[in-house]
Amino acid sequence: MLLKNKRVFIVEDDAGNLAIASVYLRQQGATVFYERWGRDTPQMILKHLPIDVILMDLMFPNNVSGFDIFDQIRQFKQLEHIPVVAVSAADPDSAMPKALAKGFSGFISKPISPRISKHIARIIEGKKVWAAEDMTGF
Amino acid sequence: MKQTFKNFWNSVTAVHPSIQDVEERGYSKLLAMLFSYLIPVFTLVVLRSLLFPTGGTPTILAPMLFVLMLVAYVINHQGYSKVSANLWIFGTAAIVTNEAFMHNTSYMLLVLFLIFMQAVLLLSIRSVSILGILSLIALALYAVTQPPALPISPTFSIFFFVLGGTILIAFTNYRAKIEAEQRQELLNANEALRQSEASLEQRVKERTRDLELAIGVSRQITTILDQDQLLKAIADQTKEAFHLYHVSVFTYQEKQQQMMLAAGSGETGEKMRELGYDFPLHLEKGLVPHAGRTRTSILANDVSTNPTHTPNPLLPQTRAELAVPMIANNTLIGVLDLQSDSVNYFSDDIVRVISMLAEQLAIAVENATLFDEVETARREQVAVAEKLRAVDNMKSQFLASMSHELRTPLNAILNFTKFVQTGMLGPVNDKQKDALNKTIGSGKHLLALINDVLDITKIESDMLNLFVEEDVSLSEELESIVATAETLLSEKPEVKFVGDYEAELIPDIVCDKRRVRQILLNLVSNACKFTEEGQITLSIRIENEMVNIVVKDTGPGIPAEDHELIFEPFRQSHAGMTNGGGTGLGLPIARRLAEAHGGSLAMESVVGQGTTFFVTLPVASAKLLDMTKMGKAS
Repeated sequence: MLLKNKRVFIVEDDAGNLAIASVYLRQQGATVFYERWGRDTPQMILKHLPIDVILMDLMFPNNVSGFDIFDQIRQFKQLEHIPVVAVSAADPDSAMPKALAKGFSGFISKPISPRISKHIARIIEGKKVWAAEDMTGF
Repeated sequence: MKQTFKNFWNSVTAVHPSIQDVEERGYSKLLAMLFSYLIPVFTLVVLRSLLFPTGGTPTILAPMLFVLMLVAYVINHQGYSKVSANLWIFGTAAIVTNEAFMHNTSYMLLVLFLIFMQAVLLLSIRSVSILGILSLIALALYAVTQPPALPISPTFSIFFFVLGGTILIAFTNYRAKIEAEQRQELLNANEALRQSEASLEQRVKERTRDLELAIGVSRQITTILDQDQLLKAIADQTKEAFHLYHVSVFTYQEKQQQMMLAAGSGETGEKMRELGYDFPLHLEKGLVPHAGRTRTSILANDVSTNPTHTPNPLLPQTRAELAVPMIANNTLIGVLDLQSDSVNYFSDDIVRVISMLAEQLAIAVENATLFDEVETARREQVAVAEKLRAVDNMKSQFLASMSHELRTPLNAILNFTKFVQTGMLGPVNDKQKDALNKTIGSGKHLLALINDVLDITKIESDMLNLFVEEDVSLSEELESIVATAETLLSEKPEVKFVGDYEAELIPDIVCDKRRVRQILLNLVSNACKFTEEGQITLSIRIENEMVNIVVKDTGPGIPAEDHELIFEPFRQSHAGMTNGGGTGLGLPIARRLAEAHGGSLAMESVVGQGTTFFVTLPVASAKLLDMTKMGKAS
């Protein structure tokens, strides 16, 4: 159980993707909270504190981007220290440098695999996880 | 030896630098040479008379002459050649005469004649005359006082000297006359020269002023490359520099055979340009087309009497007009038209200077035209390059968003299939499991295709950027690659996978983790795909700060003619196409990725024995370390 007693918050608009990530994380003992629309995300997270890690999709409907939501989250003192990891189908070559510059703790490509829990556990430990390729997990 | 003597002779007979006159220098040189010859001779004579006295009355003639020539030599050497010559001639004359009287030796008087000859060569007319008179007096005295000493009759000697003296005096008179004439001629020539110098100086001054004006105009103008600006500047600055009433610049349009007013000085010039003063080159009237046709300057110094001049209502004060063709490389560029408000303004000199100016301006105009053409071409090129770049960008962006759109559903396809396949959503039988496995395999293949196409597009449009990290654990990456290999080989018990390395000896490296993993995964999965029996060996060695990774298989091998082919995009070996499927992009991408790291990817293969791929990557190159810093800074 890699994620026993860990509280994970997922920001993701696609129900399928949300379900998949939740399944893998819960398998490893995590408690999962989520927010689908990318609106008032910080308030939603605040409701569920303490949170160990935030999984952030990068593309939302209506041109909302995960980078904007990241900025909103970072404006709250209580949320400052929570590591945020991007989980995205975007091209890693262009998205990773941007995420690194913003202050994300890592980037996990979609499609994800069961190994996502291993990466999340490392991020909670304070490590950075860039360019995690999950196809070896299948 | 010869050279030493020559140098010595030259220094002994050297002429004092204070003597400027060429003729006088010649005399001085002659004197010096004479003394330089006589002094050694007399030294010997004096020495001989001292060492071997001949008896009889000792004579002081030789020592006296010796002293005299020494003194004369020194005086000449100091630059007083005339004094020296006079001293020498009169001195010898006095000594010889004295000798004749003292010792009653009449032949000395003949020596006097020799001295007189010398005098004619060396002295001025006056001195020669004085010497002649003195000699005659001396001779007369001698003839009167000592007639018996004379070896010849006194009548004859008087006759001889009178005749000789008369001839000499006549000769010297003649020489004096010629010299006087020459002097006068020289004076006249000098005066003429002085006068012409003065007028030349005046003309040079005027020419210089005009040229300076012209140079000023052309210097300011040749730096302007924009054609419209240039032509306007030519008109304005020429007008100002030469105090003209108006200046127009016409350019020649070769295609239409038209003279076109391209610029004019001041506001009138602007107005005329707006009105459009264009006319055909063959127009009968007007100085400008005439100058263009004949390619010579056409001058009307009084326009009221010139039939070809066409008055312009905008320029009522024009009294004189000059049209000068502008020609560069034998091509008519245009005509410079100058108008003055005073009759006879254009002197020959001004016309010449303006013609020269027109030549310079023609070159400047041509340069500007060429620059215009080059600049236009360059702009077009830049525009094309920008367009291509934009197209490339759009292509990459399109592919990036396409890949995003394709990966998102693949997330659901792969993972939900996995859920079903693992029995998470209810029991599945073996047949169903097998079918689901194939679905997953196809999904993974589709994902690989999407990734490869995106990568090759980036490589071909030169937009591949590495995401370099420090301290990447290569051994950790190897673990997942070995796991993949083992999965791929799970259905091939005849193939053994051997990891020939010690994980704890492999250092952390500086690299783009995802890309290095991609290279190794590509090589290892290719080996697994094509090898049916034997073994696949993955060995790693560190050497000279480079990681050398070797993937060796015992597969069918690749024929020599395909060895380079397999690294070219969209190409595959025959075997690859028939057995492997795939895009044929994996190896070209892998090679390019290795090179982007400052490493390389090469291969060796023998058909029937297997294939070996060699990857080298730097452990931590300065270039890659720089890239991590850039990543962090941005």
